[in-house]
Amino acid sequence: MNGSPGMSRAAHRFYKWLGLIVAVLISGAGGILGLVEDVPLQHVIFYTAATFALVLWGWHHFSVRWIYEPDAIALDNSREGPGRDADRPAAPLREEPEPGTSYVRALLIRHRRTIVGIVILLLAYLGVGATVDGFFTVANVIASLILAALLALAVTFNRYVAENKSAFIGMTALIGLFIVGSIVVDGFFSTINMKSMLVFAAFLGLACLGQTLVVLLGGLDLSIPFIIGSANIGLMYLFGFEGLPNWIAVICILILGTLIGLVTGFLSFRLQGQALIVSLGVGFAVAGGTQIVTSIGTRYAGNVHGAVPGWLTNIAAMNGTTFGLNFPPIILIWAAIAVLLIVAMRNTVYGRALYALGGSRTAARRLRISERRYWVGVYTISGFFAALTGELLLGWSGSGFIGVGDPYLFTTLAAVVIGGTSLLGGWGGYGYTVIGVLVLQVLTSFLVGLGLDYEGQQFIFGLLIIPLVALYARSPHIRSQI
Amino acid sequence: MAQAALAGGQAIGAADFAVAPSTARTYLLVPILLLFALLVIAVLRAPNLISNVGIGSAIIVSAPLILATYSLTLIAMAGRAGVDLSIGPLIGFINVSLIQLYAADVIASPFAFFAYAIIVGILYQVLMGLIIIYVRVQPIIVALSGFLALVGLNLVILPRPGGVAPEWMMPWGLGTSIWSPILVILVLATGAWFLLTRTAFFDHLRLMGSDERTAYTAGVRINIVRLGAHVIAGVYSALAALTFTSLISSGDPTQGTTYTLMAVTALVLGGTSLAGGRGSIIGSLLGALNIYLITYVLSTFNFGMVQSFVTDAAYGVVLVVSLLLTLALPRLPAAVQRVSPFAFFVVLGIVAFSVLLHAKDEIVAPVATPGSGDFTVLGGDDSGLTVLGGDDSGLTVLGGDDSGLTVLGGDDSGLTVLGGDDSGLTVLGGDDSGLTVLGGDDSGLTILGGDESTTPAAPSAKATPLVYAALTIVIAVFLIYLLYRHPSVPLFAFVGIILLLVLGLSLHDGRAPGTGAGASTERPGTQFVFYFEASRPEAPMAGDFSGSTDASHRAAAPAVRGLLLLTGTVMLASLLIVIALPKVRTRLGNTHLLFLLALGAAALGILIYASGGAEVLPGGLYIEAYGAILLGAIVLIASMPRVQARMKDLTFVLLAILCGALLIATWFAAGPDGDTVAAPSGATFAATPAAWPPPSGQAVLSETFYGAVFWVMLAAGAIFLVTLPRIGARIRSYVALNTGVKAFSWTGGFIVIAAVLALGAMFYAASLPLWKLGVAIVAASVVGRYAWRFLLRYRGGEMLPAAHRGPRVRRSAHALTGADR
Repeated sequence: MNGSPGMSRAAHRFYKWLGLIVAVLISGAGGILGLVEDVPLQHVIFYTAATFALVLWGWHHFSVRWIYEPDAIALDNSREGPGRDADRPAAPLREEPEPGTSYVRALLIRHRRTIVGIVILLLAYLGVGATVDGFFTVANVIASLILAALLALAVTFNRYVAENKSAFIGMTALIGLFIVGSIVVDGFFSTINMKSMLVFAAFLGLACLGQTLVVLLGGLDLSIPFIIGSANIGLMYLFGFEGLPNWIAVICILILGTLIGLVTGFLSFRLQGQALIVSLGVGFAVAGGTQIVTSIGTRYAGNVHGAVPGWLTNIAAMNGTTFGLNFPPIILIWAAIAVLLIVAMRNTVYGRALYALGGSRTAARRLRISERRYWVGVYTISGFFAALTGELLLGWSGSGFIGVGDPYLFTTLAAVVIGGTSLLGGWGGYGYTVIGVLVLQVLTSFLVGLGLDYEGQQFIFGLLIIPLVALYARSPHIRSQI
Repeated sequence: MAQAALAGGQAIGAADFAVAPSTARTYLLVPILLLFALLVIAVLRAPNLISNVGIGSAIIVSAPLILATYSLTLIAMAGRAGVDLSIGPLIGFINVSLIQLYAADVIASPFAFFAYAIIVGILYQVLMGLIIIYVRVQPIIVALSGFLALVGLNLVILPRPGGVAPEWMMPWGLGTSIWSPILVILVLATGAWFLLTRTAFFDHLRLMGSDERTAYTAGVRINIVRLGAHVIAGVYSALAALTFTSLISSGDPTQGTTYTLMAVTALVLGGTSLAGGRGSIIGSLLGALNIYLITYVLSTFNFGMVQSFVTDAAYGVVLVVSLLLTLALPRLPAAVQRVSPFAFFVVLGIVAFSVLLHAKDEIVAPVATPGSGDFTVLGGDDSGLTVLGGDDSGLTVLGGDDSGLTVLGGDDSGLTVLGGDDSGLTVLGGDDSGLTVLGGDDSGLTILGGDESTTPAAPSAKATPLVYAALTIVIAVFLIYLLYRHPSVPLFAFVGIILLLVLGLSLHDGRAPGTGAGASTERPGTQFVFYFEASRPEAPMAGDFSGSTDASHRAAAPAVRGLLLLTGTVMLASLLIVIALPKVRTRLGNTHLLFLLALGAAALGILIYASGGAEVLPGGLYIEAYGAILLGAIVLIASMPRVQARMKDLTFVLLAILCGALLIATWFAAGPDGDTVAAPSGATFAATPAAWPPPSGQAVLSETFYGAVFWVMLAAGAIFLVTLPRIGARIRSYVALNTGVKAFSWTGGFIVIAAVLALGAMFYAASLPLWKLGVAIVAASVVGRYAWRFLLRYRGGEMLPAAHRGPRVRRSAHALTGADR
């Protein structure tokens, strides 16, 4: 319900009455709900009155501001490119002072898309409510209202956010999911759930780190899941050797992962259009090779058994402690790496050069930035962090399994995309990916809390990606590209 | 941001072009090389790949992958770096929903299956296309979203593998014969692509893929072109899903997903550019075959429990290495760049073929056959073959020169033994055995016939496989040379038909059509099928081929009659090709030539059909032969030079699709097991809806079949006549004279005729009542108008300069001038 710039007298009257009605409705609903829930009558009256006053005050405050500060809105609108339908009907509205009814019609016409969207949402909501038993609980109703409000907020303010749209949307989604999750799902806001979400987010975040950098250069690295799986069983295999110190095993695997990344980078440098496939091929080869090596002489093909040292378990397991505090160190590690990387990407020559290269190869070449060095470099980093993730996952699960990386094949990509890093390169960053990772993780946790199984989660992920991305990563129309 | 994104895209495009200055055809060299390398290894490791069963199961197993790759090719060509990652889950989705709908008795008939799959495929792809066009999100994100959504949905629809495919689909996935509906689908799909490449639509697609802005400014309706690409890709993915369903004969929510990575790999191996604009179906086909062969070759090695790991590793290594080869290719000297992929193919093909023959001859395998088997054993030279036939086994043994053959036939065995020169044959026939022994020169034949055994020994039939092989090589080289020198569509079509026929003759799995002595004709032909059910084609026969019984089932028509027929076919083929040569063609004129060709094809069909009816040919051939000839006739009509000149609109794609539907209808009319000749079941037009689908193995070659064939011929003839301008003009003037209608518009006229006839044939084949036919015709004529109007938009677009189009322009120009003569 954002006001139009230069509101006429009729519009003002309309909004005034609308505000009154809304206030009555909301406070009335609150009062009825309170009576139904057997709240003491005094409280009901008090809260109803308070709600009424608050809503009315808020309404008045915002409508006054909208009426008397049209310039700010106009400024906002002028940032939009020409040809948007948002500011088209604004001009005629200001001209004609019409009675309230026709203004309502104009308003309806102007916001027809929003209204249609809300009606569709309502219908969907009713449909779900009709089919699922026990859907109409107070918590669900409130959660849906909050969700709808956040959606409206995101859609409304989306056009005023000139930069960092993806971060805005991501944060809105994150906050909305948190609120709704804590209302609907029991124990969503508990420490243990927070901790588990953060641990999983840390795994995904570390795996996405390399992917983000690679995507910034316009490539894709699909070898990550295979390197994760290989590092997982490879480390377990090395732990099985007598006399080999554990830390050397860990470092060996990290070096191997880095080398694989290096090889992928070199192989794909000349085949940048097909980096996707090259990395996939390398991934297959690595996973197969590791399994051959590790399963020679054992009876269990593919699975490696053994004991994981306690310190590794402590790093990644749920009940680990950091300097005596009750959370696993992996969260701290991830946070440190993320902060370091975000700062470094903004402030160092390397970070800036990476963006330059992703934005325009030609310009970067003029600046004497070596394309080969950076391309190979990001793949190397990707290999390193994939191996690290694999090792940490071993600490978390306690037994080696090649398939541990499989979910990361598309979720790394999804997190990067949801975060808002452009797949064409040159735009984005790890900060966005962190938001993407958190959104994915909170959403997963929320869906699990709702009782959805894996396939349901997949389905919803799939359906959510397009609208999320469409809010901020639409490419311009072909007309404006010429 | 937009500018940055654009710049990034340009940078990638520039890098791509910088390393790839050579033509698209050059990219075929790598997959061709890989194909033959793998083929040679495969044949050396497991020669049973080149047999009726081997090729049959190869077709069945690789068909979904090939079709999925076709689908990907189109979308990749449309540009914007679109790789349809959701192809695998889409296949899975169509698969599980088909199986569930079948289980719920909603759909059962083949038509319903095909219609449902194709509609779902198109709807899904169109949805994707609309999102890409109007929401303007990058295609890969849309595909990723579809991937995740469908993976979840599949598991909701069918939580775990299960369900059964309908009865009529069961034999499709057996892979015991080269001839299967799957092959028909594959051939039609590939043929449709070639028709597609003749259209202006395809040029627009390529232009849009390589540079969308240029296409837009040049007036190409890029939205329609993109949607069109998605629609066609949807059809291909539906076909992939259908073949996948017939392969696994059940529903599986997760297995389809594996096709995503395989198909993307095949796509890249085939040289299609992921940046868009460049892509070829030959490359995609080769890529998919390579993927199949990699799996096949690796499965012949016995790695024990690390088998799957080795497969993975080798898969990855081959992928990377071949990509690097692609990279190295344009850097090779110019001389190498001029290598024609086709010549390359031919040379490697001959090498592979010789290796193949060599490998085939070297098999020395003691084979023990269980009872009731229908076996053909091929011993090489100097092989110490010992064959023990069980009771009731239809043994056929071909001994090479100097082979120390020892054959022990059981009771009632229909033995046929062909010994080479100097072969020390020892044949011990059991009781009631219908022995047929053809010893070569100087053969030390020892025949011990059991009681009541008939042993007409015919000496000096030098029918060693090498003769066949040499003959085949000579013919193949000749054909390939001709094709290379005078490439034209009719020639290709006819060589294709001849190949089909020869393959059908020489590799047919029926028993050897001996000299008619004691062949146990009462044995049901379906027995063979059941016998091989144990060895499903899902896993290409692992390791150890010598011990497995089906490995030794190597079909070669060894008898004299087979040779005669082969020679006859080859002669006829040569005749046809000679007629098709440019010089002869110009002298005869195109129209006459085409009539001649059509007549020749029909004659050949009738010949084979007639001889098949007389219990001489191995059963089951003539239906397929007839199908092949029908296909040939249709291809012929579509490839007429006059037709080619008018091929700039999509009409003929539509016609080809109609004809394809006709063929499928014919196939179903003939029944899944049409080789059994039986008394007409008395099927009449109105009274037989209950008899659908025909129970397998029963009387199927009924009036329905003849009816369908009649309609098909009628349709083909009508299309043929109306597309001939001269005849069309004469008809028009006749109509104008007699009715006074001057402005008689024939626009779309023949579409209506074709549609009516085609629908008639289809409904006749399906034995549906007449009123439904009427409804369908009315609906088709209403819809057809709009379809026609849409198709007209692509009439006569010459969008690309000649340099971009390559040799195709020259050829069609030739066709134009040829038409004027």
